[in-house]
Amino acid sequence: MFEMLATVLQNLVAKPATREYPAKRREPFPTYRGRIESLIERCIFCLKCQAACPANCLVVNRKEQTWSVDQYRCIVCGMCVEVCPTEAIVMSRIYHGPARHREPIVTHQEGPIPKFNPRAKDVN
Amino acid sequence: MKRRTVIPFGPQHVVFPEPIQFRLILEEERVVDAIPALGYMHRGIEQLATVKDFTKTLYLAERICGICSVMHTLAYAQAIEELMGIEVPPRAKYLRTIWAELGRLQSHLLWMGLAADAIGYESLFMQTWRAREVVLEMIEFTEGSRIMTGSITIGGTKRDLHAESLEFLLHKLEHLEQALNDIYPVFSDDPLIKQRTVGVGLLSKADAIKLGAVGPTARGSGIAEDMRLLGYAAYGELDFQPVVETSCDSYGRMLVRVKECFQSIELIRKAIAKLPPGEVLVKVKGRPEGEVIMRIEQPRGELLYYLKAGGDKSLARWRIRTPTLSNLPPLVHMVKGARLADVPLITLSIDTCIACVER
Repeated sequence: MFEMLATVLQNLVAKPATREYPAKRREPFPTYRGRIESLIERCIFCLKCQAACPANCLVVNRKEQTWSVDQYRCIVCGMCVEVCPTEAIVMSRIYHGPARHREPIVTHQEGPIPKFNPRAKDVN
Repeated sequence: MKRRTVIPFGPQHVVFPEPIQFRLILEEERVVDAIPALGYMHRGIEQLATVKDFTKTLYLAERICGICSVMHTLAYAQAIEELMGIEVPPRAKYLRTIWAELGRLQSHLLWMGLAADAIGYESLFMQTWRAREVVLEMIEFTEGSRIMTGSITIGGTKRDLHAESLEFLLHKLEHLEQALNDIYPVFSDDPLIKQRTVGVGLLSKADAIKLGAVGPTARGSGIAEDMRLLGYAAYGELDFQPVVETSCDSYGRMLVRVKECFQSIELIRKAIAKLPPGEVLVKVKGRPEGEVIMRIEQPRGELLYYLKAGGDKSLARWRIRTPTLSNLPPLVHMVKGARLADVPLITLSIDTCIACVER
């Protein structure tokens, strides 16, 4: 009985165990893997990411210089980030949010496709 | 002869997180027979593996079941490694062990919460899931994602644990152990829980062997069977004994799971202390060929993989036998003679995972 009373009193003054979510959000850990994003100006359209994707969510078009991802098919495994030779795909720390339409996100590259030198370590 | 009634239990029922049906044949309050009906969640994963690239099937294996995702990738990666004759670096083996134990912890804590909820012990359910959140944070910090982690890959692991991560793990384990120390006496001594579980769902040792029970269901009936004793990953180097209870009822199975949480914490600590330096990934070349059987210990029991590959880019056959399937015949045996009101808790006591069973 007294044990219970102690618990009750303790819980009355203690802070709540949960966060007040929309007002207070927990920052994702630095190692968190969020949605993939394209740094399209680095892309050389080698199609490696499209071939490596287990969920078939990437469509790369060399002719039209577009790179598209279906965020709702993406399983955030990170295979594309690993195979990309120019580091043109990155994982952000943001989880993909809600959307009205389930359409792939298409990014378009302007200008000529950059030349890729496999020996150069630092590619911008 | 008494009048018999058939009651459909499921596929949608409050105690089932996933759909499965039991047709319960009753004589007044007592269950005389139960007929399980499966097939509500079949997704054709085994078939899909025969057309997908074998490296991509790894991610498919992870998605068989959300709760034991680490275990499925571990089994698949180990099976492919055995086929291709790849030697995994020792550090990767230890990392795999740490992540597998974290997976076991979150699975057991999830089950403990569900069991408390089914008994009607709302506050215990919340306490357990609060402890589970600590485990999920550990998984998120070290693997980058909470459930579908994708850390284990063919040839080793994708990620490494740095000094900072190890410190975080040890710090959080301390927290978790404290929380579990508070929870454990409630599960073991509370009269409310004892009333619902002691002597309910009896499965004698002889029956457990005859019907092929695995995992905590078998260990709750006094059989010291644990696939981790085979010594896969780093388990061979971490000295441990399986948790065994001899009460042969729902209470025993529950205690096995609660005690295994402490065991997992110990195993993670031992693995961190022994963690060898070095590489975590070896390059994989070629295609698998041959047949292999891989057995590992899931949170629910023994998981069996049979892989057959003919040197193609995809597998020829991938057979999965999950622990819940092995535990269904013992469950049907346990339910016979029970009261209708006890059936939900008995079904829960084998920790059903229907997504695993039907794939």
